[in-house]
Amino acid sequence: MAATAIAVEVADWETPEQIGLWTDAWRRFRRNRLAVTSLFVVVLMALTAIGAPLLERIGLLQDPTAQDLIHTYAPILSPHHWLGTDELGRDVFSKVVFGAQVSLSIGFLVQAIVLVIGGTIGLTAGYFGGWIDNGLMRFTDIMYAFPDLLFVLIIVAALGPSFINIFVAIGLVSWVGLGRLVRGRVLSIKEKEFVEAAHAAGSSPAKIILKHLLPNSLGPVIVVLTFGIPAAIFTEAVLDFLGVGLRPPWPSWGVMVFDGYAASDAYPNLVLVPCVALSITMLAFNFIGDGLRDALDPRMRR
Amino acid sequence: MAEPILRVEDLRTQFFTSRGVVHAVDGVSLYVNEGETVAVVGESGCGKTITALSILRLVPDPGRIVGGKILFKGRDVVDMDDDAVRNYRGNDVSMIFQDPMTSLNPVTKVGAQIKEAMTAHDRFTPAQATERVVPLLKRVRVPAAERRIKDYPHQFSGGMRQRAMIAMGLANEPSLLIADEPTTALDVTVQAQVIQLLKQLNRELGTAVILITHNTALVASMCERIIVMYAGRIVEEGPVERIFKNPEHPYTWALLRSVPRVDEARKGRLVSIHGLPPDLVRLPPGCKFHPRCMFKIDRCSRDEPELEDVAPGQRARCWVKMSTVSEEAREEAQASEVATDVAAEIKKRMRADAKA
Amino acid sequence: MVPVLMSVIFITFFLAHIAPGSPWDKEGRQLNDATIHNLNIKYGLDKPIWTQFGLYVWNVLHFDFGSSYQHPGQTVNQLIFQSWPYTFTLGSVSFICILFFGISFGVVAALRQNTKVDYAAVALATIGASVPNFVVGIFLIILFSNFLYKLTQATFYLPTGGYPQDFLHMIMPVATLSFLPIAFLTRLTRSSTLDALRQDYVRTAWAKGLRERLVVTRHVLKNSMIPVVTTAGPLFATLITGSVIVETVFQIPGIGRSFVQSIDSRDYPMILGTTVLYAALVAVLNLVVDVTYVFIDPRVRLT
Repeated sequence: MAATAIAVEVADWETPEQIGLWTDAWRRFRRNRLAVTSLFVVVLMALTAIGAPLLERIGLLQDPTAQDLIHTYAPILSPHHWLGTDELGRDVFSKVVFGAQVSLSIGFLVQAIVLVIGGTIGLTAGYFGGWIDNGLMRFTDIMYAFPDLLFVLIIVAALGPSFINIFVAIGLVSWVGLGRLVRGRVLSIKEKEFVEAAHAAGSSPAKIILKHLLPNSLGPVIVVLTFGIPAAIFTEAVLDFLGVGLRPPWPSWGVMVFDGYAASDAYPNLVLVPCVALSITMLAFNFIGDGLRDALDPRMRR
Repeated sequence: MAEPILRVEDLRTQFFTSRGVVHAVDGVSLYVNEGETVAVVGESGCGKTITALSILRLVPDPGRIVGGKILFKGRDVVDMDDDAVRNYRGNDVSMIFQDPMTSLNPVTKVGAQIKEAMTAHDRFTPAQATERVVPLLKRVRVPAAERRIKDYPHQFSGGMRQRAMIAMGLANEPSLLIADEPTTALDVTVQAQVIQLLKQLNRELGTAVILITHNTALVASMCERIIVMYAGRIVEEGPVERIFKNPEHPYTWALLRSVPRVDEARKGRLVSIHGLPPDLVRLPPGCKFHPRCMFKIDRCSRDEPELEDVAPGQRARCWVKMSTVSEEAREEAQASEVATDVAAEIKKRMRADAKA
Repeated sequence: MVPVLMSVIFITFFLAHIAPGSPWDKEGRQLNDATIHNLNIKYGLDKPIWTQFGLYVWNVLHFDFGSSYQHPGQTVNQLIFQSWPYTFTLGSVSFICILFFGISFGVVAALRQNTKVDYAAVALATIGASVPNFVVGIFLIILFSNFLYKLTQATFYLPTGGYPQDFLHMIMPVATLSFLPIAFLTRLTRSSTLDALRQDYVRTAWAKGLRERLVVTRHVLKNSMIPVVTTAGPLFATLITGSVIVETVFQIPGIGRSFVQSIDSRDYPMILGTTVLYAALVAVLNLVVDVTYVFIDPRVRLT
């Protein structure tokens, strides 16, 4: 009697621990001021980027492609152009804001691809094991060993520099980290005894693995994806800067640097503005990623 | 009688954590005579390891020795400057630790690590040190010692690793060797061998040994004196035979009856001690053991007793004392239930922590 | 190693040939069809693609990478030889700087944990890991070309008048290339050293009465460097991609820059040649790392 009483008591606080993980993580994340500020910045940026067309209609922003050949190279804090204009008279401020659209959307879209490809490969390799696993892992090793950027360059050169091609290309190259993570998780769950026990009792191992996979891996997967965003943004910007990605008049930050580079000693603002925008965005995502990782780390729970 | 080589007086060591100040060692006084074997016994968290670390001035952050004296051959270790402490460690007093696998550097050869113990001090020249390594390993009964010095720790078995650590600890012929749970990480059969070895070395070399353990059987086979600790303080101490026959403190009594004893008839149940070890940040008032004591009286929850002489050479910190407890009361205590309130205790603690 | 190389060549070859547009589209001139046809025959582009691939692999095995389309009359080998010294210098100097600064910052930060030194190192490392390297390059250029005339922009390495000038010219590109890897290595070294410091064997070392210096070198560092070496592999890949960017920013005539140019002009032999070179480089460097790892960690050796 006493024994069963204890068993019930003990089991009682096992499940509250699981639910508690997310509230606990959120509480810990909140305490990290850097991460919270970064989150705020990112959300603000995203809202502005989404609402850019609206803002244009109201008049707070201008058409980033509208040329004004009379007022080229206007300096910062000119009457209608807070951050000046570029060599064709386009408003730098608007370009930067619209550029956020490009960067943020590429960042997220790439992660979607990474999730799909990496997740599938990881699941397949982990679940089936054997030569499927071996083959997939060797393939992964090959992709991991080769410098990403070069691959992306080649793929984009092959397919042509369109928006879709770019984020697909980056995604095709970036899934390796997630793939390995997912595979590792599947393997570790597979090895747990309750899978064997349930299998012996007649239920399908696939269902069990899936049921336990999600809560177990959601944390690390989110962290990996969060860190993947600034990497994707960076890769896209580099492509533009090298002249192999988006071309003018796309208002992407990388293109702005590409355009303004030649005139950079005379008119540094053209190049500095997008650089600062890029840096802030990447820093913000990295801080958020750090904060998430610390918040979700089970070892730091009291 | 000669002066003890080690005399600890009212040692206080505390840890300053975000949860509060942890009173790990709260007024401990002990002594060790030359060549003596002393056991320090208690459950996890009672302060025995920290006491040992304090003696070597190895208390990790965020801990600090905040009071008391540690007199080794008359010199106060607490007051020593860094150089003096360095000379004293591994030379006058050595310590060996619980898990030999993690306590040895995995990427350095074992022979080199033993030699290092000697070259760190000035007693032997490097050449002399090299020569002493193999004989040291032989003395601790490691077979094929000449080959073994070139091996890495992962190539040794658990028992051999611990012997190597003992060799390392004795390399400089210290007056005192502190062994912190040296057998806990080892197989049962190997445990006996290691304890035997320590006993032999104590006899052969005259090195005093402080054996820290929670295994009372080991104490019986090796030590002359025993010190029982609880919640950072000493609750009973005295010669091993006397304590084992007539423990005065309820905690000692329960501890001795919680493992089956070969020398007793198979009557009677084992005793288990209710509840959990106390929270060293929020200690209860009065006697620190009273929440878990089966023989307590009113006074126990109000006043903390002092360590008093209860028999020649034996001291206990208790208002009640087992010699005053009747046979029937003891039988009743042994018949009581296993701790059903462990779960409740844990929940209570979690709630208290969440509020804090 | 070989399958990696083969796969890379395979993938690159087919990607390069899927690309829309042929190598003769650039220049702005419109070549008439007959000329294009002849050019195709001359360069073997009219043959079926599998034959082209087979031929190519055969040639590669003989270290013949063909002639560049962009610069007719020069073989890929020649072009690579020309640009190699610049990239190699940039890469190796950066590598040394990265190891030196990255490891020392990391170790110092770990040994003085939670002091100002530590916080500064961590902050720098975080920023360094986030700011894109061409941003750093541009920033440096603007900063120095507007202030310090000596370190003027763009021209890296004109072998003009001797040592001191060339040396100065290298500072900015090397700094730009090394920024991110140093940040990365600092973080890694710091966390690995912190881990090692917590280990029991360090406590044993103190208990033996060793001096701090010996405890740190013989016990802490010997162990904490192991994870650093294993993670050094991807570092080379980062150096390679970084060099492509840095060469473009500073207009250094190295392999990276010619790679970008060859992509732009669909110079297949050049693209393939450079890719093969990079892949081989990465493979060799990773092999070196693996071998080093066996040397420094006795636990993985086959007894």
